Amino acid sequence: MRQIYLTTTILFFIVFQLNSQNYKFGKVSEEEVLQKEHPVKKDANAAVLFRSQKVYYDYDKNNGFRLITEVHERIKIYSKEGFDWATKEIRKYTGKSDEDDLTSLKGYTYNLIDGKLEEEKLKNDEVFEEEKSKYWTVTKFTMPAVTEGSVIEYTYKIKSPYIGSIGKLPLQYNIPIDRLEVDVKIPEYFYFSKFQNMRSPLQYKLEESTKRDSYTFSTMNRNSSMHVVKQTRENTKIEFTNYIYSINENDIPALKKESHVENLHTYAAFIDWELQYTKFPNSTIQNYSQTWEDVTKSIYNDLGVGQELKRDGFYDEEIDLLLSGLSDPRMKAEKIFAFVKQKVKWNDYVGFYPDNGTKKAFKEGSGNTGDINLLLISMLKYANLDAQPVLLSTPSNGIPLFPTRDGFNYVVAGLRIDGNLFLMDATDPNAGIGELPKRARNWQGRLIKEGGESSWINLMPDYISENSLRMNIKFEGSTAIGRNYRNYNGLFAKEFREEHSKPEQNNNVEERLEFVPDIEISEYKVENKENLGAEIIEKFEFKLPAATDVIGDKIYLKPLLFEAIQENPFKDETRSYPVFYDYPEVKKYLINIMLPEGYKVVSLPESSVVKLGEDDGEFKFILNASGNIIRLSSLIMIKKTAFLPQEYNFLKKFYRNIIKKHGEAIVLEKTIEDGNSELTESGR
Amino acid sequence: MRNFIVVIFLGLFSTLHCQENYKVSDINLKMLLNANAVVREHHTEIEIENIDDVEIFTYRVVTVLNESGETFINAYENFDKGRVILDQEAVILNAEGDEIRKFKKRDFNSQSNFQNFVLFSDNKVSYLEYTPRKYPYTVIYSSRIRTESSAFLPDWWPVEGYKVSVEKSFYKIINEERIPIRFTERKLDGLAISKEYSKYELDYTAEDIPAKSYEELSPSFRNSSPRLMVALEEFSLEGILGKATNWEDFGKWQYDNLVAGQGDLSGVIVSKVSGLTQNAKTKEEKARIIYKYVQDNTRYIAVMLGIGGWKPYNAQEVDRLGYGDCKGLTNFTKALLASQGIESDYTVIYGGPKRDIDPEFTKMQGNHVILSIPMDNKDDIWLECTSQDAPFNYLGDFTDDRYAVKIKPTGGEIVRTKKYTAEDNLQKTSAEIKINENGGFDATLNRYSYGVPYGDIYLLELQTEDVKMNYYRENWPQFQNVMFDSIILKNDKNDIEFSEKLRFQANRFCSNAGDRLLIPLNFIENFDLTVEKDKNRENPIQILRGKSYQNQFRFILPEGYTVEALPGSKELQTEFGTLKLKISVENEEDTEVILVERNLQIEEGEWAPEKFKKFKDFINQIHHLSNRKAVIAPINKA
Repeated sequence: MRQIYLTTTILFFIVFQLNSQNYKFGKVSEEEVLQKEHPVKKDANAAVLFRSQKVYYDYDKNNGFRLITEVHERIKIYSKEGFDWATKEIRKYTGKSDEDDLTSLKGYTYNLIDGKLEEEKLKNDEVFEEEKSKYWTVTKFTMPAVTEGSVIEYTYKIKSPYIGSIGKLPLQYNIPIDRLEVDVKIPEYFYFSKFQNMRSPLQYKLEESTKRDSYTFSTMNRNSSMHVVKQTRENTKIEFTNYIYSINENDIPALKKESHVENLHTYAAFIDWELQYTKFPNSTIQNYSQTWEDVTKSIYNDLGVGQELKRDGFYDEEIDLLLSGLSDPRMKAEKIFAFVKQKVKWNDYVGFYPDNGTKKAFKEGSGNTGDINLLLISMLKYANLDAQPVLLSTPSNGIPLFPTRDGFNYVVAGLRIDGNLFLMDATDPNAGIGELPKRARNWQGRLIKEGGESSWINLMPDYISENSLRMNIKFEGSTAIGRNYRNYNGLFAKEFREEHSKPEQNNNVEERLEFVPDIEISEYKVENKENLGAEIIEKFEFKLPAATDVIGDKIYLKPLLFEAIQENPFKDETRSYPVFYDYPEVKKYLINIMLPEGYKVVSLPESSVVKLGEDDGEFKFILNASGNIIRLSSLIMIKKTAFLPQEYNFLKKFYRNIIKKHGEAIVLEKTIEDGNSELTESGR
Repeated sequence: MRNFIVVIFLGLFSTLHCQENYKVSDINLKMLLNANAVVREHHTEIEIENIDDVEIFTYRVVTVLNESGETFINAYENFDKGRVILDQEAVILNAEGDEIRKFKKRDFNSQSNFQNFVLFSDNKVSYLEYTPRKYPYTVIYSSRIRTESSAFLPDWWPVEGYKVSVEKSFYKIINEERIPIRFTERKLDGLAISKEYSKYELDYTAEDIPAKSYEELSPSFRNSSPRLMVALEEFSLEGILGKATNWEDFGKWQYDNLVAGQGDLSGVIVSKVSGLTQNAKTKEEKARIIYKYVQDNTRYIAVMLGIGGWKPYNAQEVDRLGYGDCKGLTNFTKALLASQGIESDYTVIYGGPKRDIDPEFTKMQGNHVILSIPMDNKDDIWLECTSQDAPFNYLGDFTDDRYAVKIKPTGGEIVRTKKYTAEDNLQKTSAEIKINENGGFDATLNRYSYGVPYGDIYLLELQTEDVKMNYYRENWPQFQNVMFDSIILKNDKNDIEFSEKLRFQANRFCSNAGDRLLIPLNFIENFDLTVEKDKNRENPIQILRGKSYQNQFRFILPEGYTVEALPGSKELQTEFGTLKLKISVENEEDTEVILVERNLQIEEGEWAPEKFKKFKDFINQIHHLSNRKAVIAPINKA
């Protein structure tokens, strides 16, 4: 009986605790400050106990509609490593004409001091504003009196004149969120499309409802006659329907960190809002975007991309001169490509819309991706080539999953010659025709035809880039003397050009081989480096003392010497995100070894051929000995560029096998005097 | 009226230089060698208008030869309330010396200027943003700023870095107010210098300095380059006036104006600390408790506004906020110690790579503050107050072995911080490795780290299991598919010892050669120094800190295997260090064990460039000896 009594109190206590969670601002409880570790994720350094984000519209006569965002966060700090969560940065857009307004910032830190709950206020002079760029200002603050165990709480409000800018609302952080409330109220005048991040396994339920609402505002009327000034106040009330969307979730897990993930937030849960159209009383529908077709049309027409492409005049003479006597379209394109790259340099800003305008960029010699590539397209068109803009999104901007204008942030040129499409990006000095820089190789792009019609095209190369090595080795004692020829084509060549573009890196084969003690390199030569798009040939001769292990009476020789793959790129046991390769690739090795005088083969590593998955890749390792020559040919091919987490283990094993085979040694031993060796043979 | 004169002066200056032509073809060939940029001329003119009013005029012409040379354009100025940009202008010339673009003051970009560990500072920077069409090109930059802080006259560094040559560099102080100046030369000997100076003014010129390449293990540029250090006898810092010609007076001035009066504490905190320390017997014990209290209750956040860049927040304020920068946290700790009757000294230092506060030349220096507690008949205790995790009296490689200045009520005092010798910087490993027939293994490993290596690793203890496992996997790429049975890390802050006890397995370590297995005898290679393969060394070789490794590896052979071949023991003894390698086989019942003892010590020091070949041989020999393998084979085959 007593036992039962006890359990009920405990139960009661737990229920009571749950109910006692009070998320009103300022109602931080002792229990929350007392909590020592996160109940689910024990090693969390901090957790969001509560986050609420309310988005709604305000109306006043002077400013019209304003988009209001109210944020309230309560964060628990468990350990010193979680202190970063006590510092907050709030981004504000400061546009050309109008800017966001941050108000009502309040913050408190809660600690238990000698058993008493004490609060410390964030003071106004502890809040700072930093201008990050032309477009962004950041409001920064760090909470006072934070120690392990503190609970911090703050709230703020942003008023924005950019009524379509709801954007991405976060639904997940790097730390757990115990309680999340998102509440978006949109008046009937605005229609948004909304979607959650498909790359996140977390998809939350969006509750929808409607409510009649009204805005009331007053107007002053001043009537002045000869002697009297009369003021009248008039109240106006507008009634409308509010569409309410809300997400209420508990126990949102922390976003997991993993190596080889370039942009972790690609995988975080969020909900994105894009303005489709507005329909105000007594006016027509204003369309923003609905289908991909609409998006590209609006970019092409409304934003003036099409206009920009029609500009010419300022470069005619130079192009005419440049192309005089040329008729081959590929040659013309190459000339123009080189001309644009030499004339206008990229200023590191991305965008599909020209920042300076193509004309100014041409005159001043620098511009953003929009300036440069629209200029390129415009010149190609001027030369009667079939060139069109291709809109795309860089990896940091995510993948264009739904038809939105913000889904794109970059433009390249698509050039059609004899039915084949070649992509060109003049912001990358090392890219040839058909080669995009990594920032532009993100899934699919949208090719826009004249007038704005558009279609999807693949941005990943459809060819396999090749890196092939030929090495001939002979021995003087235990010193290996050899020649190394390597061919780079496709994107391997482009990468090589990038890595060797700075003067210090001219001979970085020495740097690359720094881990090989004592190696001497001579006759280093690179061919075709300046010849964009062409295959690069890199050759050198080397001398490597102690290239073999001479142990006892045997010689152990790893045929790939310093070119063997020794490290598995995939070290984690498991993986929850996909693995991406930059492009389809093949690495080939062909090695000829002349045996040292007076030695014979005791054993050779076994040959082996292994496939990755169905046919996503292949590893070959084939050894032959004939006479005093050993020949190794090896190949590592990766055909697919995206591997699912379920395929991670195959990849890991694939590399494990490569490293094993590349590490195996040929065993040699001295031939005994000729006659004796014959004797042994015949003694069988 | 003054403005009028300045305009005329400037006008003269610009017409003077407009006549110059900066064709790239005019550059002497020897100045192009090794260079990414050529400084055609650089003028710094400092005009002392008054003790709290200094104008600095810069005129700088740089030819940029390639992309890497852009770091030497230096067309920017920092500014804040006490430092105002009066003029700023840039002209871009093409290789032939023709003007292609001009930037007026309003064309410069400005933005906040502070490193990301600082939460906020009012310092901003106004800089030139220019994307060149092609190389080479030349930038003519001129600026005029006015500052009220004469405590920081810019020094003259005629050599500007590696890979840059300097045709002409001018440095001049104009001082009509006749405030006495002090200056000192450092390493100017090797340069072609002409100079004129008086008690009030000076005029230095250097010419034809060819570019040098950087080589690994070169002495740091800051410590080894020529410079002229200059200060005023009377000066101003953000409006606070001072007068000093030696460290004692300068320290006294700093103490009186920046540190004194900032040590207030509330009664609450004093009684709390008194309570915490009441049972502690010695000064050191008390200090330990107070240091821990500071670490547990504060964090590092830097906010630098105006004089706040130099003066610590009041201790009371740090107590309330629970955060501060190095000055604030050091001063807070000092105040807490003082409340318990323990004296300590606010000490200014350069944190980061070894760099000295110049002991001979007094002027505002340093970028960091730490605390020292003088002890009777013992070395001072050093406290790094910005770290929540560092052990008591541990400096590590951030502030070790360098000159610093204590700011005491009685005056400044130059001191040298603790040095970590090769013996102090010890990493000791013992491992037992059970090899299996497939070439994998099961191992237990114990490793102890002390001195600077301790500082490199002790934070690992605070990481999550995943991060720990990942740390080992990344650091030991030679093992395949490492699985951990246990990772036990212990950070003994009292003895400043970090211990790692690991049990783990991996499935490939030895390489196959037919039936045989090759065992690499250096189980975990933790010596990672490599040297360039260059032929003609120009710079001295500098090893900043010695280090020693003591390793013992026991490789237990799989059953049925025997040692077929074994490399011999070996000793190397050089002035750069020593390696003792002992390799032997033991029989334990039915199994054979290979025992490897490997003791490596690298010495601290600086050696002439001519010794480079010997040094390189030593390093390569170590790697070579470390790469050796034993061969084992099944008994019936051997």
